[in-house]
Amino acid sequence: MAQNRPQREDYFSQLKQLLAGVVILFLIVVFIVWRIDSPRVERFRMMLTDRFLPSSEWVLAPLTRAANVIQDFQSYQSLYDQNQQLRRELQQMKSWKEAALQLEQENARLLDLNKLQLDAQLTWISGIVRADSGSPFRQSVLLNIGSQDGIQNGWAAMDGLGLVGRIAGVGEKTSRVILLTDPYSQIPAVIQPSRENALVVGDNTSDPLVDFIENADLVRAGDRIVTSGNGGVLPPGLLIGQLVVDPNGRLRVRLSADYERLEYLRVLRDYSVVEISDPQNVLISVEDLHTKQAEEPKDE
Amino acid sequence: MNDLGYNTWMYRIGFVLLGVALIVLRLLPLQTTPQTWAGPDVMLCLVFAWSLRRPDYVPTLLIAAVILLEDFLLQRPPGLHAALIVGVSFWLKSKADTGDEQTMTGEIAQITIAVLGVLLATRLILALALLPRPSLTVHFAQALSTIIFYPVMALTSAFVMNVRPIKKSET
Repeated sequence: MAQNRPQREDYFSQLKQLLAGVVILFLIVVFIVWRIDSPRVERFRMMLTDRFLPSSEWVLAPLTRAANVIQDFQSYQSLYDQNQQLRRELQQMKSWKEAALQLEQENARLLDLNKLQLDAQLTWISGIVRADSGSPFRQSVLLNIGSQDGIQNGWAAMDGLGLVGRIAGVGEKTSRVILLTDPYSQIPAVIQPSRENALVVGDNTSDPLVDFIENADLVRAGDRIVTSGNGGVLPPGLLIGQLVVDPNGRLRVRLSADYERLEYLRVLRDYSVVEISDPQNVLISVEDLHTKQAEEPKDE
Repeated sequence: MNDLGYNTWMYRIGFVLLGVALIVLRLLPLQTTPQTWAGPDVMLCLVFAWSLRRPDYVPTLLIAAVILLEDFLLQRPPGLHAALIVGVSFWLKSKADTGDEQTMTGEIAQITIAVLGVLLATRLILALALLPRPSLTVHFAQALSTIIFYPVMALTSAFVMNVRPIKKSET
């Protein structure tokens, strides 16, 4: 028995090597399959998330709540300053509200004159943010609404004020929102008031790049950036943020949506969206969008 | 395989539970703004620390399953990270099997090589597959904080979870 021992161990270690080799090979095959046929694998990923997330919700929800309470508690320290600041802002807001009301009335009169019909199809569903991407390299959140609530790929997700991202990946009970800050996110936008077309490109920083502007001389820091609706990507006119110039002289957008606290998101129903059968193409559509941008002037 | 004790199986189940808990913790929606640095990859520390100490607690198949699940849930290219970690942990296990007494410095040196190896291989393969690579600074920050965090994980597994190498005299 004692003499047999080394041989047996040798045999085992060879078997282990073989097993490790087979496992690594299998994993590499998974990676290659994902690279070649990503929609199928991405659907599988969404299915897996769909299974995993609701079953872990009983842990996720209280933990998130507890962490937020702690964060809130920290903010009590600056309560007085905050209160003062809020009062000042409220005062400003009141004057804005007055202006807005007057404009609204004027707008209503003008619409009435034009007999204009507002798009009644653009309504929204609210979802609760259940999880984030969990990785420092990707920026996305998972909502607790999915295909059973009628969510479709490509719809816009907003917080109360501005655009947050778009749906890419819908499971039965969950859906993933790719945030504007994600490196894969590219949104066609238009800069007001110059009406210059641009692309808002996420690069994993808090202020996405504004790229592919035809004439950068016409735009200034502080200009409003809204979605353009080019190529059927997102409905036009959704507020993204304000143009800023970073220290390197590159144009970026300061997002209007409050990314610090994403708790509830509104997903805009938009049945005019081109049916996207291939969620991965929503993500990696750099070439696609570039050609679309290039083709745009010819179309007009 | 009947020489595997009850204890070993408990640790294997513990490894899977710990892995799932780590994934759930990372999924908490606390960080929705992009960061310029990145915290340690605790999962990596766990797998490497246990591979070096008790290879029998983390069999290849379990590592592959847990990391593949992590790949899928954390939006990473599925399989790539898992394949690399299985490969590197196999190398670490072979170091552990030689049975020499490890010094902490030697161990950290090995871990540094392992973590940087995973980082470089990931970037190389992503480049070869024509996929976008994560920003170098964030990626490097993550590797660095993983290496710095490793001793914490190693000490925790040794003294809290009692994962210690089998001494020669005991076998």
